[in-house]
Amino acid sequence: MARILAVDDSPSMRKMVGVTLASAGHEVLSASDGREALELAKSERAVDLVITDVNMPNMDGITLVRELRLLPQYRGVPLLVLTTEASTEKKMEGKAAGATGWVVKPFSPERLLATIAKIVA
Amino acid sequence: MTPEQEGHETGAWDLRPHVDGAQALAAAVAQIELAVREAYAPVERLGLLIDCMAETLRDLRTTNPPKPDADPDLAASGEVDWSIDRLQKDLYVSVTQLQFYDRMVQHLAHVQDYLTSVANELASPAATAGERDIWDEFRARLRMRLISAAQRELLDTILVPAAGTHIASNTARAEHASQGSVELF
Repeated sequence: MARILAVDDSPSMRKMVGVTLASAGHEVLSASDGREALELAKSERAVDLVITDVNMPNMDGITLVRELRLLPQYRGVPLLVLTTEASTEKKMEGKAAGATGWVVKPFSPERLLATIAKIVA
Repeated sequence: MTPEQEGHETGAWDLRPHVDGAQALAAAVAQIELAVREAYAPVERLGLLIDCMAETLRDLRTTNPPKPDADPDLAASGEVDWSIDRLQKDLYVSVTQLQFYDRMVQHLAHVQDYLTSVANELASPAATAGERDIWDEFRARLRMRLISAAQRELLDTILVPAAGTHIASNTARAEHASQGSVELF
């Protein structure tokens, strides 16, 4: 089972993601914005996967992805974007920043877990 | 000269409908905000119920681990497994449905921002209310932030975009991924 960092400024979304991941036996860490997630990533041992929202205060998800990719311990870690942003332009921005994949909310727990199983070795 | 005529002479009377309009929009924004605030506690309670479901599911799985070699004819173990599967399905459906609340709050926040921009523009002493560009700009900003084809189509139907900026519904749909979609790069 994987150790996963879930980043979202909405408490209810953090809960929904957390419940989904925990139901499959994953260990869940959470942060309420990009800055908090980045601090956590720097202070803790690297997680197996990061799932982040895009639109958040202090630091958005795309910037978080870009910053995480600069950390040596996060170069090979899958970074999944989970967002309501569905435009191709935004998705390409995420891909260029180093995101591994893009999931559009509202997510299906079954599909999210299947995707995680595929990308987390 | 009557006060009305005086108002027209100075131009102050012409601003009155704009100020009234700005106040009406501010009132609408405040009502949206109140509605969202009032829904917060009940939705938080729903979130706690989902937590309870997840906890029950964990407990059931701990006390009834999967038995790959269990006799499928044994009704008791079959019923428990069925209940665990049913609970997991219900939990996942609840997780999916509750996300629509978050989505609605986000949608309303975009509408609130739009209404606030329009109200501020109307209330501004240097109001450029007669200029089409500023309204097109507000409209374009709202359209960009809307998250579904249905939301954008509704906006396009009621607030017809300026000539040359219209985006056909089919194109708009193609430019946006559908909800729940997963794409790996």
